[in-house]
Amino acid sequence: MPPNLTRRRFLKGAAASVAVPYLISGSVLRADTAPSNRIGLGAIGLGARNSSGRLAVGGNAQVTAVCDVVKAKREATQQRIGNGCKAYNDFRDLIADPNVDAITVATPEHWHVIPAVTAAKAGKDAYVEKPLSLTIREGRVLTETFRRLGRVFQHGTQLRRSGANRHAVELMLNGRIGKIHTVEVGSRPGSRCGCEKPEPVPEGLDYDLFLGQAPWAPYCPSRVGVKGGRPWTFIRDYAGGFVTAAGIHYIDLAQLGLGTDDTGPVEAEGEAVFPEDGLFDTPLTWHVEYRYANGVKLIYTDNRKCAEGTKFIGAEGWIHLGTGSPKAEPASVLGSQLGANETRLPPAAGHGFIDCIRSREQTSCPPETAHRSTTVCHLANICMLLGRKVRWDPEKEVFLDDAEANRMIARTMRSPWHL
Amino acid sequence: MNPTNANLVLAAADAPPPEAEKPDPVEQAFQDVLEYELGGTRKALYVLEDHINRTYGDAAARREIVGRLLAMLENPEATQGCKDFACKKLTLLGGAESVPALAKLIGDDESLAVLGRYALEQMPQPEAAAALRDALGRTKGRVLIGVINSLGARKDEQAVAALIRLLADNDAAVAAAAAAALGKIGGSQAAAALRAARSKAAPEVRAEIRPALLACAECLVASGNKDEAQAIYRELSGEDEPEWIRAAVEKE
Repeated sequence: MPPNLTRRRFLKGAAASVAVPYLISGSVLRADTAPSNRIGLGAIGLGARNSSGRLAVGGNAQVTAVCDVVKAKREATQQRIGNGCKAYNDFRDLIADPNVDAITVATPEHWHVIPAVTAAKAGKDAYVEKPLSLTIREGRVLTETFRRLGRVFQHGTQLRRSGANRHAVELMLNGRIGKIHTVEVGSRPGSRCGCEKPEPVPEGLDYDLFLGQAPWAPYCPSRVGVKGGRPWTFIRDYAGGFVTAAGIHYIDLAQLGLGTDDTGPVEAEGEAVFPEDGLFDTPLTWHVEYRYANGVKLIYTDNRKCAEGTKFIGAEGWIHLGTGSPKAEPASVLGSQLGANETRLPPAAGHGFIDCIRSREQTSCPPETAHRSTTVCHLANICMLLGRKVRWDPEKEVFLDDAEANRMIARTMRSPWHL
Repeated sequence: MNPTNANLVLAAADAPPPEAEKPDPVEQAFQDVLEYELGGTRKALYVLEDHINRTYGDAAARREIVGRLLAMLENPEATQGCKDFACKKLTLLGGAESVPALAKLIGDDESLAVLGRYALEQMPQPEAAAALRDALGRTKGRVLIGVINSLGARKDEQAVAALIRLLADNDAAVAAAAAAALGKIGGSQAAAALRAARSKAAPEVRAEIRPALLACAECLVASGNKDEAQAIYRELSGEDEPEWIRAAVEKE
């Protein structure tokens, strides 16, 4: 059972009427930042999803340190940033850097939570790419750690910050398409790869650090993707495939639209087509059906069967959200204006990562929200790997009457890693 | 031999074996997996995963499968990949009968030790916890740290005394792991040991002790030991503590 469940409920109740600062304390800015008052960002993981540069736009933050287990990447990034930026192989050294106030994490999934929790334990804030975690337990530990230590956290699910998407959700919350009975989520399908023989570890790659918590396996190029790409996404020891990595955006929109940011479904059942062979062992295609406690059905599948994005189907129409503009039937729904007394979502503007490092308020995607959305994806993988329906208690975060599924909530970490 | 008989002999030689002689795909997979190399063909693994899923609820079939998985661990010819697969499946299926074979993997070879812990850490049986506690006394370095981490993840209260001893280990990484594990387990005894160790601890151990103490304090509050929790909060509010720790305590 998550600790402090009673306190979380109490705080949630109290926060309904009063905006409670996430941390009531003074500056977290470096004492030596004069003349600049910028937040020092440390970027861990320097691939395509590294958001540190984007977060630094506007001058309120600057990238003071970078870290990657691939030497060529970190040195090239360091050179491009200049300005005294340090380069580290080991994220622990970056976190210990006094010029780093907060970190961004854009590593393989098995390396999302450990650096974030390490940063929190060192008094630093964290922005973590989606999906939040490799396992359900990791997400809960991160959530509890950031809460207990009063650190700011943002999850990289940008779609829920989009003004157009939020307005569409507000329209749904105010009944413009009637009572929602079904949500359909379509994601990009997975990928396959041939078998690969072991090769010597290339110069400039810290392979032991890449493996991290995952069990030892011999190096081969498609395990790591030194030259580019994210092949590790499709290897179970490091990630959940596109079930987590791609679908999380749209599952997160589903959670937002259903008003279930602090809970989740109670049942999941589905099947997957796995690669016939090869290094990649996560689903190529899938079809999972969830049921929420209020009876809403969520269908999660790949985009061959259902348009990519999130489609909310109500008694009086539907609204589809994704990376583009919302669509609806009837189309006139989207032109509807909210009345003064109608329900609105909390504003996302002003609640981005850098804003909240200064204000010490919750970001628009705090840990609990990130954890709950990612858990929905984990439930999909678990029920498909077990090949049967699973029943989930989102309050206690355990599977009902399924000892095997409960053993999949966490994974043992290779030494010396722990949470 | 007349041409007709010769044709029959040739036809018989080329014909596929009768149905009864074709190897059972599951049985074949149990054989093939012994040679599975990580990164190599996974076909046998998928056959066995499917077989495991289809036998859900069949206690006899599951016992047979567990027996075969344990045999893989004992088989000196089985590859690392085979043992990796076996331990990952025993993580889900293993019971008390699996503990000895898994515990035997926790030795000097880190790549095997993690496989043994992979299963033992997630298995709810008390025998699994006992095996991990036993491993504390016969392992060192990263393998020992892994065992400590597993006991912390299991929140094993029976390991507290041993972990308290390791809090004073000369290896700071071992001591830090012990501190983190005690924080996860919580309780008065763990909290007292962490408080006592704090001032003498090396910087990297102290860095683990602080969040461990906050976690202990939270558990103490939840169990009604508010006075002990308050004592921890008072100590962590000291001027020599980092500002952010004092702020975290302040909001409690």
